Amino acid sequence: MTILEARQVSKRYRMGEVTVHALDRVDFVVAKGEFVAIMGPSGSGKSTLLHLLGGLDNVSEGEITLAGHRLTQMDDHQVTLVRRRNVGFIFQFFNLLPMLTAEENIVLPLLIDGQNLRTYRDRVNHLLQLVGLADRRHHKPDQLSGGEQQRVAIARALVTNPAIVLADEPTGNLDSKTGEEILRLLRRSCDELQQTIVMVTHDARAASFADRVVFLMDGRIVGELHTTGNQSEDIRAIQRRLRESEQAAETGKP
Amino acid sequence: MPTSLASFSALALRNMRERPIRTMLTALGIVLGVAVVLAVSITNESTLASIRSIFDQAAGRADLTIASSGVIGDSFSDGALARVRRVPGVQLAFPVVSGRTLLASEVDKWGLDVSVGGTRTANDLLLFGIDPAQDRQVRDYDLMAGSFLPAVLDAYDVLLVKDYADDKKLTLGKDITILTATGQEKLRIVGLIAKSGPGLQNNGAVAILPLKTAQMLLDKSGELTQIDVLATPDIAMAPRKLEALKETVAAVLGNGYQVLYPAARGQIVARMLASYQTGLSFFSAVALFVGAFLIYNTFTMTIVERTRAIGMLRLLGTTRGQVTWLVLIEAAILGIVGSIVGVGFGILLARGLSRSIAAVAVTEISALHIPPEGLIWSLLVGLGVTIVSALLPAWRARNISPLEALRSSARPIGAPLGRHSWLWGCLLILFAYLALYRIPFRPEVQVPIGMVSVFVLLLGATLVVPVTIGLAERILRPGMAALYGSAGRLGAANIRRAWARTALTVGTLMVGIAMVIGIQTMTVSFELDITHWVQTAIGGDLYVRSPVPMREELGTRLLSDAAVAEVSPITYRQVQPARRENPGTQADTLLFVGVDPQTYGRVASFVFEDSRYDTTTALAELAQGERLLISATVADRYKLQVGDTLALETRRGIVHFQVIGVVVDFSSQGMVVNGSRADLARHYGEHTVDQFIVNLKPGYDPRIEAERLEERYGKSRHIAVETAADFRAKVTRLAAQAFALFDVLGLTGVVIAALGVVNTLLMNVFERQHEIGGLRSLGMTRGQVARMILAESGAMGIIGGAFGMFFGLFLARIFLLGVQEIGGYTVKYHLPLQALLASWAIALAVSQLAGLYPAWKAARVRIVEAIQHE
Repeated sequence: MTILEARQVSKRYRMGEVTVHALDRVDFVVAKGEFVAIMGPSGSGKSTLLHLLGGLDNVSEGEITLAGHRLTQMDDHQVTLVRRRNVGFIFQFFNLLPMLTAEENIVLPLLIDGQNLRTYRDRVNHLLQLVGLADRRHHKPDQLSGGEQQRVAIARALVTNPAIVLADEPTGNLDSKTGEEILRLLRRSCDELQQTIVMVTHDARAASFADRVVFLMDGRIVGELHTTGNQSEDIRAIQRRLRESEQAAETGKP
Repeated sequence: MPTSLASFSALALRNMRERPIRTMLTALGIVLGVAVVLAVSITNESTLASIRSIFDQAAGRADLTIASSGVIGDSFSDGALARVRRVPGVQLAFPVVSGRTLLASEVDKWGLDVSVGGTRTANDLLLFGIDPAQDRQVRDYDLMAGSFLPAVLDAYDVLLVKDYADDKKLTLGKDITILTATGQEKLRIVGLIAKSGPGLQNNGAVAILPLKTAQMLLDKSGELTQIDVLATPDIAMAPRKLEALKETVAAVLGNGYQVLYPAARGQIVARMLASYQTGLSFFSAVALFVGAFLIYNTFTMTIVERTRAIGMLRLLGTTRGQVTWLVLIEAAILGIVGSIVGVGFGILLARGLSRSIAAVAVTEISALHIPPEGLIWSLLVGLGVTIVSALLPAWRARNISPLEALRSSARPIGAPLGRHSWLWGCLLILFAYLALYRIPFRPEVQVPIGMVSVFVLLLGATLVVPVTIGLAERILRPGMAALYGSAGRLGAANIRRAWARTALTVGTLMVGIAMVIGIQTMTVSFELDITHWVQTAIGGDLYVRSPVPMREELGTRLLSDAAVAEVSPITYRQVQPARRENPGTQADTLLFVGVDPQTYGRVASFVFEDSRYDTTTALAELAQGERLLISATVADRYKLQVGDTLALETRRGIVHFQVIGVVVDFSSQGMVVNGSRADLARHYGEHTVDQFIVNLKPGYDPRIEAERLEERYGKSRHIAVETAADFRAKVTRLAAQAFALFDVLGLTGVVIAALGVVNTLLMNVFERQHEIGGLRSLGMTRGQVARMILAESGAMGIIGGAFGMFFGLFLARIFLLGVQEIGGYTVKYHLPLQALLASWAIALAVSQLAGLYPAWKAARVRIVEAIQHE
């Protein structure tokens, strides 16, 4: 079952006199329960794609449908509501509110939605168990390590039981051991909770935790790899090939 | 769920708790603003309430009061009493005769005091003659010792207020000796009353005595000064019937009388204070305006600081409406808390203000009258101003994109209305300029338009400030480097970075300083004018006055003294403009200053509006009779020019006086006309002298001669001699006292602005921790860091001061216009160089003081933590 569908999506920016084609007629489909990684070099448009998929930015052309909602035909207010109930976000810099405790940060999306927190008590406890922070629920972000803060962010992303979780370099600011713990956690949420996840990363090892890796370059999808277990070497090989072809294009040699 | 975060709105509280100092500074701005507004409102109410209550209590249960149509205190024939008693609906009518005198023992201490309303004697005693058999039906005498007056009209008995008696060491059963027109008289103290009801009059310096005795002593046989009327109960309870009775009584009495509701007499006094009170209200509004700036400033900064957090909230699905709501909730909480504390603070401040007003009005303000609607109004104003000030920041917050959450650092904040805000600012300034200088509005709307223009002007100026910051910084950089060393250069450069925030702070400072300069310019202009008038018009070396009327013959005696060169008599008389011919001026009374045209020119001169006139010619014309020199205030109010005529009510009916010149005069609120004494004698039957102006021969010291003359004539003629220098000093001191309050309000504005500077600098330090850590790691000492911050705040002070100076001069013009329109005084504009420099110094000092705490904070930044700071 398709949960997210992008059809012929383009995004152009104007930078002074120049028009930058950040995305060029991209088609991208994610099925329910799938864990997809988007990879590509800097400036390839992967973050732009993630922003468009989450309704954070507007497309220049094309259609995006998220959990049955056609984002491209909605106004800002409607998109906000869709995002609130259907999308969970995880970022490189955690983006927790410093004045709230871990638990309060987790329930924030429910508060924003005006939900009665009591009815979510079990879910919040379960998530705290899942991310391993049951005993640190009353700590504020500055009392938590980077890995712990990112786990709070994951729990926050999952609390509304969203149709999809969008993660932007979730391990970019963590050491490799903590990063791996986070990736395992994402993998578990996908396996145990059937959570759909789209993750942007430039780390092949991170991408290897996904079911599928989509390669982006110059705003276009240039390749795709279905992973079975640890295929980080395959991923790196594809990355290498892409980089070489990019250099060849620049120097004009085949 | 074990969380105190019960709802989304509770996030607002968390935000405030997170930054306690900023929250406190913002709240303090609201507190000060609300306190000033409330204090002024309470003071105004209390002054009016006190004045009314004194008159009401003196009139007791009377439904109506009858007085002479001339001036309250003037007498009329007691035949009126019988006529009033015959009017159907009048149940009882009570005669009163009152007048002022002195205790014989006080003659030495007697002196003339000046007040905003004119002159009065400092230690006089009010004789209040009543009908002892009846008066207690209308007035309550709270007898504290002894007995009430016997029921005879001509006993030489008296009731005194206990406090007054204690103060003067007068005891029950003993006699007091008072001065009368014919000499000294003794009265037996038979009772002491409380300082309430009739005992409140003249601040307790009142002697209650039988009517006939009072008439004798005051030389008012067969005359009354007041009749108090009790209407029949059915009429007294029905306002319309009472109004009808008032008109009937007025019709029965005819010309020469005025029938008033008791409180109306208080209103006449209250009118005198109106201009002063309007001024206070206006400045309190400006103080609140500065407060609003601070609030706007803080909220804008808070929004910038929280851009990423707000972006994050937006990303998590918070709608734009919810974000707006969050900011406004925060504003509402601050507004409510700030206003409540402000109300408490305002009540305290009101006590101080009341004392000053009491000094200006020469009235005791018995109790602070705190109007409940005033309290509610202050709370609403505080809350309203806070929320309105937070609207624009809320709008900014609302427009923060979810993508802001993903940026590594917040984008710098722009000017309030975008990049072209300075254009809007110029437009607003142009609008204010046109409204003030170019568009001839009708006089009655000029002041309100002027006041609105003030706000428009200041708002416009604030929008223009940002565009000038860059240039200002370049100009200031070398100076700052010289003052603060290399750190000073960095500090000055810093103001360009968060330029919109700096601009807002400079704007707040500018408004505060502009207010101080506006007030100072007005005060200085007023004082210079008064001083000029005092020096010129209040001529002579000595003034000879007496509590009892003097005769011209004393002048001849004085002139025969070896030290005296010239003597000129002056007579004062309150007169009323003819009502028929001057519609809309019913309640006016003018002070007719009767001079002697032959001698006046030798001791003093007039200050003419038009320099072509001179005193000698004017006096020659006055000598011809039925001619007047009117004050600029009278000219304005009655729309008179030289050559026009002013109709005055006189004993012989309406007389038209020709206006021969317009002069500057600040006595009696400027409601003054100068004419000849011969006219006063002819038309008002006034032959006595109120004052002799004396010029001494060269070589005689006024102070020594004053004492000598007083010694020589004082005992026999009850005169007091004052040097002109002392009198001038008194007038000038009074003017300064009246304006001191305005200075206090102006400084409140500066204090609020200083809070803004603290706020901005703290914010800058917070934001630049990373950078400060870097500078420290490169070897910058803590002292250098502190100096860098002080240089930054110094630069803000200098720029704010410069803008404040410029716009303060505009403000001054509006204030002077206001003084002219509301107060009646015509004041020339003087550029106060000293005030300008002083204000700039204030701006600098305030900015440096405000920079101390942020500088200390910055100096304490820990290098390792700071360089890890994201």
